[in-house]
Amino acid sequence: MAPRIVIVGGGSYQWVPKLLVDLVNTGSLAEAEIVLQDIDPDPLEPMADFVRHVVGLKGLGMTVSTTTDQRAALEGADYVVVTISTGGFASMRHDLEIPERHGIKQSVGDSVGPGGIMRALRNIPVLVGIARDMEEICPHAWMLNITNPMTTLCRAMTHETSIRTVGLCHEIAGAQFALSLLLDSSFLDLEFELVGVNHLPILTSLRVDGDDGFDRLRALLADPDGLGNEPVKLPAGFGEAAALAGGVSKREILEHHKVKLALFERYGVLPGAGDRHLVEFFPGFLTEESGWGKRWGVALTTIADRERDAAGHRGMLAEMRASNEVSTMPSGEMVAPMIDAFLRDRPHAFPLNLPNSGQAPDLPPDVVVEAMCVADGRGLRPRDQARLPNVLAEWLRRVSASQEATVRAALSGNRDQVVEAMLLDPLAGRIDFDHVEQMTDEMLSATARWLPQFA
Amino acid sequence: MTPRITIVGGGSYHWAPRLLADFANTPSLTGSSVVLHDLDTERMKLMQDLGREMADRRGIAMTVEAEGERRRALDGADFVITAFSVGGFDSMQHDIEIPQRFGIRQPIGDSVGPGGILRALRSVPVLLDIARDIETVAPDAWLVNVTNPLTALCRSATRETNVKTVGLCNEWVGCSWVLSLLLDCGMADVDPILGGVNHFPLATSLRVGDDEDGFVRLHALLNDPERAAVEPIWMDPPDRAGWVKVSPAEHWTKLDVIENNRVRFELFRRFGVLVGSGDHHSVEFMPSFVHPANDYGRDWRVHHYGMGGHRRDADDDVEFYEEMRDASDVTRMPSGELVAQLLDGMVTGKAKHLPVNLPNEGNVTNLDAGAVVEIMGVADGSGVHGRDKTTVPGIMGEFLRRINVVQEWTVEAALSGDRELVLEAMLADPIAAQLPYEKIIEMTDEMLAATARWLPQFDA
Repeated sequence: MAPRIVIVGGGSYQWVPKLLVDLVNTGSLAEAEIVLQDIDPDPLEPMADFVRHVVGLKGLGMTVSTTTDQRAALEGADYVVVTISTGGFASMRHDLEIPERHGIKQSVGDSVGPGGIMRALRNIPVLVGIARDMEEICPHAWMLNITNPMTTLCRAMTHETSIRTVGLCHEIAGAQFALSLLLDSSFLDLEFELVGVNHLPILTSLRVDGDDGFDRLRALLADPDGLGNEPVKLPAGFGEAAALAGGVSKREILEHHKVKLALFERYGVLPGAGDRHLVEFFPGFLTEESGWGKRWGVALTTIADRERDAAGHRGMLAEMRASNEVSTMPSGEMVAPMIDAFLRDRPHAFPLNLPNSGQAPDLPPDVVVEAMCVADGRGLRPRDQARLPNVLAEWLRRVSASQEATVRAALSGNRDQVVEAMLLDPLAGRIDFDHVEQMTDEMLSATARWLPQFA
Repeated sequence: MTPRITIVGGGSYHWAPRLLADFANTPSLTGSSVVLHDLDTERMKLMQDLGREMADRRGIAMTVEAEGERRRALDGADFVITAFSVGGFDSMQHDIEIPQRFGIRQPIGDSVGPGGILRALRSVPVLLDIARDIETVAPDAWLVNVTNPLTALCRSATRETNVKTVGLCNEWVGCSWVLSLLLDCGMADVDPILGGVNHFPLATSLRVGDDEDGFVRLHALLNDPERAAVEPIWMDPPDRAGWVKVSPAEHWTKLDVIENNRVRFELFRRFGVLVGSGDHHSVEFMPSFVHPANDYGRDWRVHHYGMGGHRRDADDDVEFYEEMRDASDVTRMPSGELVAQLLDGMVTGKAKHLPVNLPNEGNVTNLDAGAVVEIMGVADGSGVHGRDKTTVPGIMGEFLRRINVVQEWTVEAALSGDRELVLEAMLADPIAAQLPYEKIIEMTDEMLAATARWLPQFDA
């Protein structure tokens, strides 16, 4: 039976084109039925047109349809991919600008911190709405969430609804790529265990070609001058990406990962997300004294940056539509390979966000954690049980406590609970008590139209 | 029974006069044999003279001797009271001033935060030496610790030795006075259920008299500022409290009480948990009240001791000693310290209910078993036991959990002499963690270097 894959937020220029390319490149999905749903009808037709174009090029039996009607889209769904943003940049602007006026600069603002908390308040009711419809219409379907803040959104689903939910994030793939370049290894030859929350996943062990990868990384860090300025060699099979990264030396790669490497040198384990995400969890790296992260090589992503990226994403779709070739390069997103593992019952390990059933022994049960999990015909299960060094375990417990408070606040619509989540958050809680409250009220009021539960 | 009570740090201007007077005023203790032990022989002798003079004035059988050799002082003790400071102001100055150079202001600096951590590193080995001597020469004795940081010190003793250990602090006494002002009752009429750690004891409920709910009455008062602004209080605050008159009334009112305990009542109003220690202590556990934007807590009327304040307190102690020495009788005013009450309960077997610091036996469900917690306890013929079981709700429970993790690591660091473990405690400490990552490292190194002579366990 052809699987029916629904993408809620199917008009997202950022996410949907690359997901679609992955889907058409996945053999088991050749006959799949793709449904693109979005509250904004405008991008849906270009997306569907692109699918038809590549399906024609590849001669597949895949079908595509579009709708703005969420319930109609969910009818008969097997997999529901969620890629939404409530209020888009218009709401996110406040996530960054209001905290900045109170002395908090955020490098991303989409996972924790004041921005991440507000984003959760906006997106959780929408996701609960999707899951409620799923409970009625397609109760056995999987929800594959790639929307941020991933941890709190997935936690709200698993806490509040009966829908099987998993969160998928590409950050690990980025770290994996950097490690493969630094350690002269193939991307797929890295084996690791990890544990944490989304945007703060921590590799607790690493094997490379039979060696201890952490030992090799330590040796490399011990002699940075020995690295020279030679461009790194890309592993075979990278095609055009090889040209992109061709001029980068190992020394330059290290410069882009200062924060995770500082944490690695101290604690012996390696955070696996981009430094721009990590610093929001460890605000000691995101201070005025360090040029708001500059000393650590972290730049703040602004709304203007995001607007430029969005324009780029549109251009990219137009280019892909104009081409008569389909890239075979995997995007790094896990939606297609995970569905493939389900359908073909071929066990495959992925870093996934699921409720803690023992994979994160340092964190309370049931909170959503990121860890290596196995996907196969029976579904998903955690693969490892990874422990963290003291300080990082405690740091995660603190983050997790704030995330739990965030979920409670989003579900209750109680303003005092938002203040509590902010006070418990390592980044928002750095400013003084009165400003935490003022900032919270200003943020709630500026984004009130996206927060019906607080009305 | 005439108990043998050894006071380690018995030459203390602060502790010796107060404890001796309390003993003289407690019928079950008037026959005690008190042994003072101190490194400072001269002051030990002064306090011996004072104690003997008090016994004479009262015509009681209490004996007081000074013993400079510690094991001899401890030999056969029923109770050992520990009141000491390693390095005194010379070391403490670094606890306060080095963090200050990095932008951290600690209102007091003796429990948690960089100052509290360093103080623990200095004091833990000394307390353990004493406790090991007690194991040998007085294995049945109770160790009654009043030295700060109380939680870390008591924890080190219960973790590393078999000595029965209890920590005592008078902060709740101050809170019960504040409550008596607001609720028009006697200090002994308020009975809380406590769950917390020292200097951050958290009342999760409060009984007044036989069966009144004190929290209901407090919320009603806080919600009616007009009433609070006129209702008088049964005694004026003493000058040394340093309170600011806020209400327009000519007399001191309940609003003045509330406004001079702003953090305590702000937290109570919001989170439904009453902090049982003074604001200058509790803000070190919740540093968003000590921030440049609120003038380091001064906007909340948080009192900063600074070294000047600590020195003034010490001068007051000398003055108090001199008054006691030159008086014709022994003051009948209780010191407010709980040592004599605790001993009285154990000696007479008549149960005394009082706040104590003991290993957690399920009393505070937020914290691990064995962590030292401040809870209401009962002292009677069988010893001292925790009385209640409680869960600190919500955000306050999480702040409590966070600080207790740091306290456990502090003890670990003090025992191991491992600098990395000190740094780990600093990195997780709410006050120290206000700094940039690299500054926390720098500050920790400076503090360890500046106080190295009191930290033999860190000798490389």
